[in-house]
Amino acid sequence: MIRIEGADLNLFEFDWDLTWAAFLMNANGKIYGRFGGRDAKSAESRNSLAGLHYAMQSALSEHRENPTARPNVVKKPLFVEKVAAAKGYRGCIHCHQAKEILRQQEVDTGTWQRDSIYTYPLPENVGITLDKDKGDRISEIKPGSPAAKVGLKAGDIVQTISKLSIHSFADAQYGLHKSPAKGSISIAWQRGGKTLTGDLIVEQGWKRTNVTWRPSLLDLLPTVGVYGSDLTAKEKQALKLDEKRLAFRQEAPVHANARAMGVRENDIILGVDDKVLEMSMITFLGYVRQNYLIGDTMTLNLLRDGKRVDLKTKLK
Amino acid sequence: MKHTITILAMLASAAVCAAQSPATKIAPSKGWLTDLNAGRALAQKTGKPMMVVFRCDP
Repeated sequence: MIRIEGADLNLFEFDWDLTWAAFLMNANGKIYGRFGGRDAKSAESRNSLAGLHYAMQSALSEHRENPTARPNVVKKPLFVEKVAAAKGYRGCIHCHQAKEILRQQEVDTGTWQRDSIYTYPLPENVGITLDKDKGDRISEIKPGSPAAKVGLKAGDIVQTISKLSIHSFADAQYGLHKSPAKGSISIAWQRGGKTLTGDLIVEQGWKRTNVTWRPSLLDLLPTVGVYGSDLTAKEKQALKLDEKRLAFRQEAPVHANARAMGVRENDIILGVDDKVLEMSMITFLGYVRQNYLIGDTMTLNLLRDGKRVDLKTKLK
Repeated sequence: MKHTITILAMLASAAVCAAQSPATKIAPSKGWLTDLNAGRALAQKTGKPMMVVFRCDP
């Protein structure tokens, strides 16, 4: 049995928040492809047995061409247990803790950046939806997206992203993960037997996804503690609020974090930082965790006895 | 030559970790090898590719 300790993280570089991930490789450390990956919906929503079979077939084809291939780049091995920030850890280090340890290392050395919590972006972030059963096939392109602008179409086969081979959803996530935070991302694809190339043009923030499922971020994501029933259309109308606007009535008992902010039972929560949000209460709870971190300052906007109240707080 | 894939299970199991020392390895079962170095050596010898799996099994 091999744990994350003892595994070279520079070779086995994957989304360490996952509960399952596979590498298809040879004995020399040449990685043909990856399999796994997930989104906020569920751990299995992007995987299928057919997709695994497809990725394995692709890896076998590559292996047959050169079974003794060596990695293109060999980095100095990195073992999580040797990282200074791992000193306080006792017993088994979980995969997600490897991510936490490396983040702590960045914090300690002053190199951590807030946007680095957005790892392994979804292909949808650049407008690509991949076939679940054939992980390099495009099933859909979002109109107006970077993928649409470069000319990608449904049915195309993605060959590389940032010069990294693509055989699966996990490969695509890895290629995007290794891509720059803004600017251009090289992409090659096959259509009708011909290879085409281009650049996906992305803006700062393109890697942002719903990170609320990630165990490595549990100590970073805030709990506001507000909760209650969405107002009905009639109730919103009576308060002169747009029907789509966020508005929910705080229930009792009020969570300690919300109480500490000054929230009371029956307050009508309208949003944060003067933003007009069109969403339900449940979506709002996710919105806060996706857009704020513990320690951030946030102002909760609400109505109390018909009057506007703003509660400023440092999130915890 | 027909290749098959050597399978390695790299089980990051909290339960097993808690019960065993870092150097202890679980016994191979159901065709899965559980030692990366042994798996690489076997792949080197046979010329077969590997499927290396990390799994968190809390």
